[in-house]
Amino acid sequence: MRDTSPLAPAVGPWLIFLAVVLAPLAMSSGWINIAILTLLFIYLCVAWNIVGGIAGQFCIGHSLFLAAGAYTSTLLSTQFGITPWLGMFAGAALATVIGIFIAWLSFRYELPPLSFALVTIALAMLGYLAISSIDLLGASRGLTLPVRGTPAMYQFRSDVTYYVVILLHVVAAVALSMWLYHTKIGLYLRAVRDNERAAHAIGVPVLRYKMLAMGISAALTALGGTFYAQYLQYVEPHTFASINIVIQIVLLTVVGGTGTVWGPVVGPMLLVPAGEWLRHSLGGSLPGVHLLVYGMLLVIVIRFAPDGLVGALERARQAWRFRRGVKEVATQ
Amino acid sequence: MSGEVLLQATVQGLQMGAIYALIALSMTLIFSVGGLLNFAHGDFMALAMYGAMALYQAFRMDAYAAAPLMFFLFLLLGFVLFRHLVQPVLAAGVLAGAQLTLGLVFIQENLLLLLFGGDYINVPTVLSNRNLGVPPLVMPWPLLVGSVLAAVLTAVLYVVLMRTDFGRQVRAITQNRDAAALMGIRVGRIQALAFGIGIGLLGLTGPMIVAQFTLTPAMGLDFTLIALIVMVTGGLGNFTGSMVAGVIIGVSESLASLLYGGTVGAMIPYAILLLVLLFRPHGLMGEH
Repeated sequence: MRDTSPLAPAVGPWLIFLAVVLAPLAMSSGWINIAILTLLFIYLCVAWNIVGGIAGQFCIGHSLFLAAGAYTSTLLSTQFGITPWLGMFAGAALATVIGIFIAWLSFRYELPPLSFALVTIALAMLGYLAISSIDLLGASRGLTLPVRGTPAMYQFRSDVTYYVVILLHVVAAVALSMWLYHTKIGLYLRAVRDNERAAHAIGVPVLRYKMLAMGISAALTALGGTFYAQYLQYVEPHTFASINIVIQIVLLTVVGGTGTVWGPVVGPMLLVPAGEWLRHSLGGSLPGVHLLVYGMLLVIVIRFAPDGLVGALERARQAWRFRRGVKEVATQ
Repeated sequence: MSGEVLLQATVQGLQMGAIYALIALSMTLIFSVGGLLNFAHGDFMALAMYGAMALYQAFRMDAYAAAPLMFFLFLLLGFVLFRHLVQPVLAAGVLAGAQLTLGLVFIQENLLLLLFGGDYINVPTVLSNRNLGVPPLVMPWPLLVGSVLAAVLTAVLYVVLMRTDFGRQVRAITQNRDAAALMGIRVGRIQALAFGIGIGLLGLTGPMIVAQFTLTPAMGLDFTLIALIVMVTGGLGNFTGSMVAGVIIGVSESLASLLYGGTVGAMIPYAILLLVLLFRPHGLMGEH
């Protein structure tokens, strides 16, 4: 028999990953921007997947955490001159508090399934409206970061440096998500996802673990918000706080495979470059065409493989191994 | 601030509330029979409004004449969509169903953007810019007609649910799907019909209130959110609750817009939702 350690299926993605690490050396500036955007979405999807996939709680409020990270670090840097390298942790702390509060608010009582999605979408909208009307936060115009151009202020001359920074984010997030998935925390979270009552009955502290998943996911998302703000050098409600970005994150994760470690990596890796290419080549004459394609892909994938591309691949692999096993037995 | 202005705002809020309640009711209908949380709900209504606009531009057909046509079109669309797309996905779980509707949001929004562009569009109708003066009130005809229609449809829906076999079957499925199936109710067909009617109601309502709104491709999300808020505030799956919550939210939004400005007015429904969740998490009329 072939050795089937649980990490065996991860070999393919690691090879792709190696190619990604070496990629910017061979890329023009247009492509490197697309690559940075792709990595950012991978990072955000991995973060969302911790609560939305592994714990199975359908959160649509992640724009709040993205905005908390982006606005906190930006305000601290513009108002008090505090470097975003510190500000990003303040943002993450704020997002964690908000996330844990939302989880507590939603999960104290046993509410009908999916009410969590309703609560979070309402809060996200409230946050968007609030941010767009508060003058300190630049209202609907947003805030512009002063150009200092020093690495000490989390600003770099070259896009390659931004690429490296977000790649480090992605590696850390994937490592954290893998670790979470396979330790007790991940087991508890998956138990809550698969059958909450049974998990509760065997002694899983359901509320506490949901709050934990939400806190981790919120903190990671906020760090991504700071990166995005530093990369764009501005923050603005429509980009950072609108529900659209969350729908995009959910969509990309679901196409890849919700609740798996590699699904949130695969989804954006395939779709974001394709979407950006569509946007650049057709976006002028056909606005919104890349989002239309995202939507259609999601519908097709969820219709024929509700567990996403990673889930479909996994099933195909198992079917193949089963057939090969049958053949081996037959020839013996 | 005179009493007349307050009265004016209250009446307008009541009228908007009736429309909100109907949108939330059609969402509740879909939610209660299949567990499908339809995030594309408002986008179907936006689609109906754009459909009315297209009919007007192509044939000079008035939106009020287009409404019955759109009702049957959307009924059919809903039925087919449920049978071939929603039902197979729902079999994989309600979460997959909700995610599917997020995909539908992107498809519809961007299809409208592709077909009709991102500009703001007004659709002229026979009632546009006409007002009914009942001293001291002045009521725009489109809003009056839209709200009266919404109230009538709500009443019809209520009677259908309470007094007909179809309604009893819907309620049976809502209470216990497996038991309903064992009693010989064809669950899949009733679900598809309920979904069709829910979408059909949007096809009817959209053109009827199109004169009151300015069309943009992204407008659907606002309707969806209002419907979600009304649905949760009233108690998830509770028909009476949705009606009451629709009126409460319509009136408080209208009064807050008048007293504190548009931004606060837009935030009020969300604030109400938060308060309800904090203090009555099963909704105003919800049961434990």
